[in-house]
Amino acid sequence: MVTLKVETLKKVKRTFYDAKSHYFSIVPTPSPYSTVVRSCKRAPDASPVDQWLSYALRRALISGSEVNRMDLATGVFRSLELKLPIYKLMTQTQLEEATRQAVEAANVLLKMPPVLKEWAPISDALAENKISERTEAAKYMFTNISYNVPHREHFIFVRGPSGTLHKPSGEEWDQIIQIYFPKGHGILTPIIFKDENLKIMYLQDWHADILNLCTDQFEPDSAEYIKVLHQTYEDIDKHGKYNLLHSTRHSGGMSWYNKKIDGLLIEKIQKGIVHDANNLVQLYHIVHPDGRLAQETKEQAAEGLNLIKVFANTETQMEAFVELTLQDHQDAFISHSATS
Amino acid sequence: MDQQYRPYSFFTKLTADDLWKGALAETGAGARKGRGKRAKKRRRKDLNRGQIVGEGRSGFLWPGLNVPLMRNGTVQSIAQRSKEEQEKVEASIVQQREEWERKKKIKVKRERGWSGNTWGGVSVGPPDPGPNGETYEDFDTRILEVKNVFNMTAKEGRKKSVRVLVAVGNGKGAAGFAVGKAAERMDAFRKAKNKAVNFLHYIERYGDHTIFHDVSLTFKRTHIKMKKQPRGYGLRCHRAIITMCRLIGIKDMYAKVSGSVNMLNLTRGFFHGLSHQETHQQLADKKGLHVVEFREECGPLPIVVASPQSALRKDPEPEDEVPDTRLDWDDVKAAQGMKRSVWSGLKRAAT
Repeated sequence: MVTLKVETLKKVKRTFYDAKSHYFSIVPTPSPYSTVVRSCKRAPDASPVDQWLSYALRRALISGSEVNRMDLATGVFRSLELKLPIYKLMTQTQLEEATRQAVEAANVLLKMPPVLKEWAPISDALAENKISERTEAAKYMFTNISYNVPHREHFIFVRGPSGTLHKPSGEEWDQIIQIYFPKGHGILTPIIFKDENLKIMYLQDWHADILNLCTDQFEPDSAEYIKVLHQTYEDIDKHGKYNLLHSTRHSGGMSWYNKKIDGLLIEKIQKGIVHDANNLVQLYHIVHPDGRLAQETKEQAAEGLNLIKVFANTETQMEAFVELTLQDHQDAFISHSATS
Repeated sequence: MDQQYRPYSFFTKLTADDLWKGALAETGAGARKGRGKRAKKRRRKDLNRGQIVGEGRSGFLWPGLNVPLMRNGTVQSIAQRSKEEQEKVEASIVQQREEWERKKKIKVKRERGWSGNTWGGVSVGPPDPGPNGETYEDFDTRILEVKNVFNMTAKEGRKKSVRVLVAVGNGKGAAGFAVGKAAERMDAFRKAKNKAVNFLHYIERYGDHTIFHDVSLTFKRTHIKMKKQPRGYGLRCHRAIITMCRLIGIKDMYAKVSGSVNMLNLTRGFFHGLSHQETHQQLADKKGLHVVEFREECGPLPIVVASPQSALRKDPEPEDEVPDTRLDWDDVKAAQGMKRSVWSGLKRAAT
């Protein structure tokens, strides 16, 4: 707990630390069309935050967050107002400037929500106090509510009715933070996240909106968030509706999640987004460095088309299908490799 | 009582034309100069319709006339029907005649135009095919105005003529208008629509649903102010302008007509204004700059709608703090909330 002097307290404006934005403060702005980083070090027992940060760096290379003009026009900025467009006469420099600003704004919208593991359950007690056991029926929670401390680093202790002093569990942490730093939406879980309601939403292709709602509502390491997230991804994978998340900020998360990326890969090859498919396979390779794919690629030093073929041979279950689509789109591959 | 029958009488000495001429009395003092009453119109009926040579009251069957000539290779002989059969045949003939009468009497309801009794807004079908075989199947014609005009002649005095203003269009930007004049209404329609096809304007539309920019024009004493509207707005204009927009293919527009509402001047002004629009490409070429669109749905993304075909200017367009445009007092009042009109927020049927 840091105690600030009175003068500095007056100077310091009340700043809201968004728990998610804190993670992004270190990540550099991604640049599209950058080359692949082949050798990435990844500590196996890194904290979830570090793991995710390094992923974000690599994720920046993978499209879905690649800001494409068509994506901007059709997907990223969405609104349903009945207004007339504004016309301006611009020189080339002005146009480029305006495009740059639009790209920046799009990048802000495409900031991916973090992918974390579930909040670990309370492991050990910090202190045991047998005297106060069964004296109080309620839990006592002690919180540090200084404004300049990020939410994750607040010291919160819970003395339970059994007398033990321990760190809060995920739900307790969420509740306490919401009391002092309310988010704007209610604490109670909206009924839209119930299974039967989710099913209706999936039928009507509202996956992107569901994901936006749950990133706003839940913390990224809460159980419900992960559950809803996985459910949505499963549904998309089952029905092959990958295009729904194409220009949203959740596409990265989907690529990260999928254990079997066959469907996604096929969709990308069919669309002809060659570097996309490439990057996807490389991501898989990074995520699962212990698989056969990694060994094979090391042996053959495969790249591009060959990499996908190796992947098709080793990891996928729908091998024949992938190879068929590859053959169909050979021309696209050849032209891309000629230009790149 | 049996119907009277005279084989030789006054009626058999004259032709059907003469008899009908006498019965109908089309020419006469009453018919001239528009004095004839609308309700009193007798129609000529062809009494020989349905008659077969050989059919008569006695019911003889003449081979070659009311019975086939050959039967199984041999020529048939003359026969006579029985009384019951003859009655049946006569009854069927009577029934057939009654059905014809009934069908004639059915009044076909005329397509309703802008309102019950007007011809404005009524369609008269596509124009007739041209002399070189051109068909205008995709063109629709709509009447804008039907007027009875008179001029004085030496012999008859006041002579009525029907003047019709008609607009044609195919809904894809090609449209035109023309005036046709004739003594009869249907002839005037025909003349007008065939003439209109020879005077077509191609009107550029933005996104195939609206005009490129706001147009305010004055043609003679008619003032028209047209405003570009987004998709889904509909046509909120004068009924004649709505008809013409539909023929052109414009789906969303606001237009206000003030001053004179003379239909001819309104149409002429409207077409003049629309054909002299400045498309985005023309604007880009004129200024030498990109025409960039910022849509609400697309946020800060600039969409280049038109680029100059010739040189691209390097120096930007000078932008004043207060734009040097002529404001319309009506629009200013509406924007400031000073306009107190019962018609401003009115909800109408969708067009």
